Parts: sequence; structure tokens; C-alpha cells
Amino acid sequence: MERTYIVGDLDIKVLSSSLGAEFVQIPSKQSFSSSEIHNFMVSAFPLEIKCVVLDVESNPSFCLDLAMHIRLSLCDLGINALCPIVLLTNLGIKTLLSVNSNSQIVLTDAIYVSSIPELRDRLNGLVRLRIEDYHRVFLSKISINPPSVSEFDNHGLANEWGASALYRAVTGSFHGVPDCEALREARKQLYFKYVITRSSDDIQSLALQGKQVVLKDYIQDHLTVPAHGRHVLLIDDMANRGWSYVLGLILRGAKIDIIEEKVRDYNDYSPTAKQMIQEGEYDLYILDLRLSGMDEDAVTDPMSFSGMKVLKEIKKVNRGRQVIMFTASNKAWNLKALMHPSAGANGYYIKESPLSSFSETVTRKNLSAFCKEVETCFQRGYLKQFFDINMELYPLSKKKDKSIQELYSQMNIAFDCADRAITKEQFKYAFISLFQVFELLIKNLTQDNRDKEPGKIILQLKSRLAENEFEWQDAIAIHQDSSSRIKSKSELSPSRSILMRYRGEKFAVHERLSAIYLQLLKEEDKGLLCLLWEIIEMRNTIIHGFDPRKSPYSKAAVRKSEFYETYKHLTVFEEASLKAIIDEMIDKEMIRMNNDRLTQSSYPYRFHCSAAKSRIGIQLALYCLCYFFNVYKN
Amino acid sequence: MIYLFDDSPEESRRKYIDLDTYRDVIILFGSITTSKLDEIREQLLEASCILIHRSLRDADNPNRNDVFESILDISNMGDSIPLVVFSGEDSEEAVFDGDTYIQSFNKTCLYENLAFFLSSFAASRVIDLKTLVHGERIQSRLALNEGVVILKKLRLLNPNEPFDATIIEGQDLHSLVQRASPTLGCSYSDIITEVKTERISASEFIRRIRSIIDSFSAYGKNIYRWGS
Repeated sequence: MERTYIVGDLDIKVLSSSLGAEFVQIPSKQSFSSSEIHNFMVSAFPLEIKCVVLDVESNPSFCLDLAMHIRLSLCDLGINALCPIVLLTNLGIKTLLSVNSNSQIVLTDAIYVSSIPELRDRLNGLVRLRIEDYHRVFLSKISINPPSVSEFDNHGLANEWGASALYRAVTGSFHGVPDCEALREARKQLYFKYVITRSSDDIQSLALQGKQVVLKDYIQDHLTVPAHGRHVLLIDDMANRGWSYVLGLILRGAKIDIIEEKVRDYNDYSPTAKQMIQEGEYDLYILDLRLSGMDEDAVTDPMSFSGMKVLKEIKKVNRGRQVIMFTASNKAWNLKALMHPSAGANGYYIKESPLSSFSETVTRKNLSAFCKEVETCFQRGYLKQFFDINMELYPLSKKKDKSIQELYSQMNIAFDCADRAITKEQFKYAFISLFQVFELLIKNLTQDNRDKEPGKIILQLKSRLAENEFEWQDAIAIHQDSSSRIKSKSELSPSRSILMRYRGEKFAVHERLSAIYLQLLKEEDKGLLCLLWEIIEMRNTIIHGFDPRKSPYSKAAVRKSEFYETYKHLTVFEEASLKAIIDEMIDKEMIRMNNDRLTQSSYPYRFHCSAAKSRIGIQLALYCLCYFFNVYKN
Repeated sequence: MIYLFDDSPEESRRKYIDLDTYRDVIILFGSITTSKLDEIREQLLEASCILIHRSLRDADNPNRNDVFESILDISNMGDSIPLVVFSGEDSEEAVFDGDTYIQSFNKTCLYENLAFFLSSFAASRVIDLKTLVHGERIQSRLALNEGVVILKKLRLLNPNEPFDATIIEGQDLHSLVQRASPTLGCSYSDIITEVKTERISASEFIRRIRSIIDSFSAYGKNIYRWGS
């Protein structure tokens, strides 16, 4: 049921009684903040509003501010925001227009001026504002300045707006009640309401959705990132002004740590903050460009921004760490500096400000782009491993051992390739670069001895006895046959003929690597062999364009027992472990078991090397390499 | 001397005022260290007025506002030295705590009125914080404030009937009449007498007061004679 409300001092209450209106008393106070007026508005009008009468003489500024709040509160009042408003006063129009900056509302539609004697008659002829006319007769006629002009204050409300804009994108509207006090308070500000309505793509929906509805849990999943188990560090002096909350909605399930200190330089941080930066293991760092809480617009060199200095420190610990910069700056040279390899940011997001706010559609697009960048950063987490290995090798590379220097150099090349990889081809190239590290390992740690036993080629491994002392130990032996590699099937079992055809006169890469890992390093987890096999397959697919239809294995059907027989002669394997390997390879679908026959798997993914699969290959390779260096260095 | 503590960039301040023009009456400090504050403490104690931004941080530690707190102590919250605390997020309506302390005032409004305030101080050497709050429109604002109080007393009366003069007696009418003089052409006691003897209706009295207020709004002064 619609009610007429009369707002004023206590002496006006008698008027409301005579008109059958609800009386609302203005609190006794010198001045009211925007939040206070908003809170008053929300509590003053519990029912549907037919009309609001504001007794200007009770408090001219308050009444005009309240009128503006009512009109701009489509989110909070719904269509009640369109109610006719009567300014009860004996003041002339010109005087009314001079009261404060919100006096401009007097010149908009559905605002009436009346004295007390005329009020009863006036109440009969009131017309509501129509939502279709809202923009034309109201919004386009007013202008609300930000509470602090942008040049004066780059933080404060601007930050809340940026976070709120993201909140709107994630939840689909401003009608939700964010579980964040900073955002709830910001939305009570008149300027905030003004920007909300101006930036809305659909004012009608904004009004017709009605009063605030608790939509705390309504999140548009397609504009979020699944991040369970991920650990994120947010470095922003305004983190608790809404950013940590909204990022928590976007990065679903992530654990988000915060550093909120204001600093001009990394060295200004507290020991706790420095420890988090130096030692923390985070999947993603989100870092604001300006951390000092003061204006940094006078900074002309992008590298002098407080955030850039912290970025440098983050990357100094590990170049593989993934960092997305948050910036309110849309200056092209700043953004270019962020992404330059010397700075090392892996992405950036431009924080909206009230003065450069985007439409809802553009905000959603920006959010979508941000989510993609986050996902890419999560995928690139393996780069940290890369850099860890590099750091391990670095002191070793200072020694005069050329093989180690070669390894270090190749790792650097592979890291740079992986760091810059964006396209499918670039990832493949990065993978091949990394695979060359394995080839260097093979080159340095294995040799084929053809002299030790005539008629046999023996794969030998370089085993370290002491600091600079090595010996060659036997690993695998094959029979040498220089006349013909392919024996007739009558002479060899089918499995051996396949093996001989494929191997030729040298040991296969997987055999060499298996020997290194299983014999040299005495690795007990035979599953590692499967990983090596996958990496080799991937390398061959990329280099040779491996076609499954032409694979010699695709038509081969080898009995499990024969397969087992084939590999039995490899001294590196023990019988029990070989069985475990075969079982694991079956589990991983690398080979299939069908009626006791093993066939090469035709699982298609293995032969199509997409960027994603190359990335997985890099991760697998790194895992193997990490293992190698962890054990070998000891 | 007036002291202004605000770390906003100079370029944005120039939009409203060139402080160099008023260097004889105002000294500007951006953010300063606590040690620097100690250096200027003695001269600060002799200040005529202090204007300070609420979010002023220590120059040597942006996480602290020891300088802000110290300055409030030096001024003794306006009791020793008139003090104005301002912020971009404060209301346009200044919140006074007595005549010499403004607890909150909008930053933009402050800078809009600062030139007028400094000129007035330069001329009179008297600090009137209302001048800073209202700027060049001080007369019209004060007239409005006084007029509104008077109108409020009359609005519920029967408009066509005379009213008791005691309803309007008081400082507000006195101040308004003084402000509107000499153009108004009569004194406070003249008006009270007129109400008592000639029994002016409430609506007529309201009309006359409104004329005065409107005149101040439009022209910054009263141009009407009482009763015209």
C-alpha cells in the first residue's frame, strides 16, 4: 500500500497527521555524510512510496541531499525512486537553487515546490517520473562530482568503484549485498549511485528488479576461475577496500593472502611482508602498480612506480613466478613497460575508476580477459620449477665442467622459450628445447661400448665414485649385426623382430633414459619410466610428425608374455618391476591389453601435439629433470 | 601565518588557487617527516590557523599518521589555534565544534573558497572560519541560515492572521536585519513594533523575509526596503 511520507522536524508532525501521511523526523545534526543520508533513506521508507514531502526549512541541505539520494537509488528503492517529491518551503526558487550542489534536482521532473497552505491541493496533482523518461528528464540534467576530484585523490572511492564494477560483472547486478563492508559503504555514496545509473546498460531492469535482494551466493561461474588448491598473494595497499573480497569471488576456492602495507619501495616492507614475498610459494601474484597511497602521477619513468620495484623483487626470487599487475593507469607507455621482459609482468588488469568507468558489457569483457590471464598464469606455474632447476645449476655452471655449463645454457634457452611461448608452435619449440636437455644428459652420461664384448653393443652409464672420479658401468647389451638389421621371423620371435627393426644398431632414447633413471639413480618408482616414454613419444610426434596410421606398432599385437620376454634381457629391469611398469603403462593407456595381447594405444591425444599438450610435456619433462638433479647432485 | 598541510599534487591545486600569490599569509607543506615537524614546531605554535588534510601520512612512513596527530595536539583541537580538518570524502556542510574548530569539511569546497579566505585574512588579520566555509557567498549563506530559522517559526501559523511578535524575536532576526541594512530602511525594534502594532499577517511577514533572502541569493546583498 502506497504511503505519503513527510520528512522534517518534530514541529511538522502535526501536518502529517492532518494529511494522513507518515511522519519521519530528521535527526538533529549539523551535517550528514552520504552514508548517513542513505541509511536514513533506507529506514525511513519501509512501504511503497506514493509521495515524499521534504520540509526544507527543517534542514535545507539535508532535504536536497535526500531528494537526490532518492532519485539515484534505483538499486535500493526500485521504482519507488521515481516517486514525486515535494519540497515544502517558503523560499524562492532562486534561493533553493543556491543551497548546495544538489539543488540542481529542483530543475528536474517530478519535483514540486509548495508552501504549507498549498500542500493539500498540491498533493492531488502529483505525477511520478516514468522509468522510460528517467535518463532524459533527470539523469541528463544533473551532474554529480566525485567526492574528491581524481587529481586530488587516486585512491579512496576510486578503488571501491573498481572493485564494485567487478562485483557487478561477477554477480550480474548491483542488487546483491556484498559481504564486504568497504563495498557496502561505498555504494551508499551519492556519487557511486550516480555512476551506477550512468553506466548501467539497462536502467529499466535496474529499477524493476526492485529493492535490495540478498544475492550473496549468486555468482556467474563463467566469469570466474576454478582455483581450488591455488594460493594467491594480493599486494595492494587498498586490498581490503573491496579487492580481496571480489577476487575471492572470481578465483573460486583460492586461498588469498594479502599484503596491504603502503610502501614506496620494496625495502619499506615489514619483515613479515618481505618473508611472504621472498619465501612464499604462490601460484599467482596480483600486484598493484601504485602502493604508496600517495599520488604517483608525477612519476615519469614507469620503472619508478612503487609496484614496479616490488615486481622486480618478486621476479628476482624466481623468474617463473606469475604476476598480474593491477593498474588504474591506462597510459600506453606504462602498460608497455609492465609487459616488457625487463619488468616481467605476465599480464595486467586496468582498474575502472568512476571517471573512466565502462559500460557493464565492457566490464564483463575485461573480467573475462582477466580470468583467461589468470588461467594462463596458473598453467604456467611449471616455469617456477624451470627456474628452480636453473638456480640449482647456476653454481655448478661456474665450475669448469663443460657438460654442466652446456646443460645450464640449454636450460636457459628452454626457459626463455617457455616463458615467451604463446602459440602452439612456440610451445612445441619450447618443449623441444627442453628435450635437448635430456639429450645432453644422454650424451654426457651414456656411451656405447662396442669393444668390451665382441658381437655385442653395451650401453654403459657414467657412474660417479667420488668428487671428480667416475667409472663406466654396464647397463644394457644387444647383439650387434652389421649385415642386416631385420631378421626373418623364423629366426626371431615376432617381438624381437619388431624390436630389432625399430632399434637398429643403437639403443633407443627411452632405453638410455631408463638406464639413467633406473640403474644410475636407482629410482624405485617405475612409473617414472612411463613419464619418460610419454615425453619421448611427444618429441617424436613433433619432430617426425608421427602418424598413428603408419605406426609400426599400430598393427602389432604382442602377447604380454612376449613383450615381457623382449625386455627381460635389459639388465636394468628386474622382473617384478617390469610387471609393474607394464601395468602402469596399461593404466595410462600407453599400451592396451586385449586377450593377453598388448597393442600400442591408439589414444589419439598422444599424436596430436597441441599447445596444451606441449605444455603438459614440458611439465612432465621438468618433473623428470627435477628428479634427476635432486638425486644426481647428491 | 596560516599553515596548510596537504600532500596533493600542486597541479591539481592550481585549478583553484595559486598559493604563491598568497605566500605572505600561507605556507604549504606536503607530507612531512616527524623530525621536520619538530623543526617547525615553534613557528607552528605561532600560527593563526592550521588547515590539514585528514589522510596526511608521515613522509617517512606512509603507514603512519603521527604528524597528523601531532598537529592536532599543537592546535589543541582548535582551542589554541583555529583548526580545519578536511577531506575529499567529507560533506560540503562543515561540521563546527565551536567557532575555531572545523572537524570536517569538503576538500573541493575548501579550495574553492581558500582564495577568498586568504584575502579576507590578509585584509583584516582576523580568522573567521565561516569565511572559509562559505567563501564569497558568505553573506547570502548567513542570510539564508538566519532567514530559514525565522521562516520555520512562522510556517505553521494561520497565514492570514496576525501573529505574536515574540515568535520572531531573537538573534536570527536581529542578525538578518543588520545584514540587510541600511537598504532595508528600518531596525530590528522597528520591525518588532510593527508586528505588534500593525498586526502583519504571517504570510506577509514570510513574503518580506523571503524577499531579503532571495536578494542575498541573487545579488549577495539586500536590495529591498522593508515592506516593499
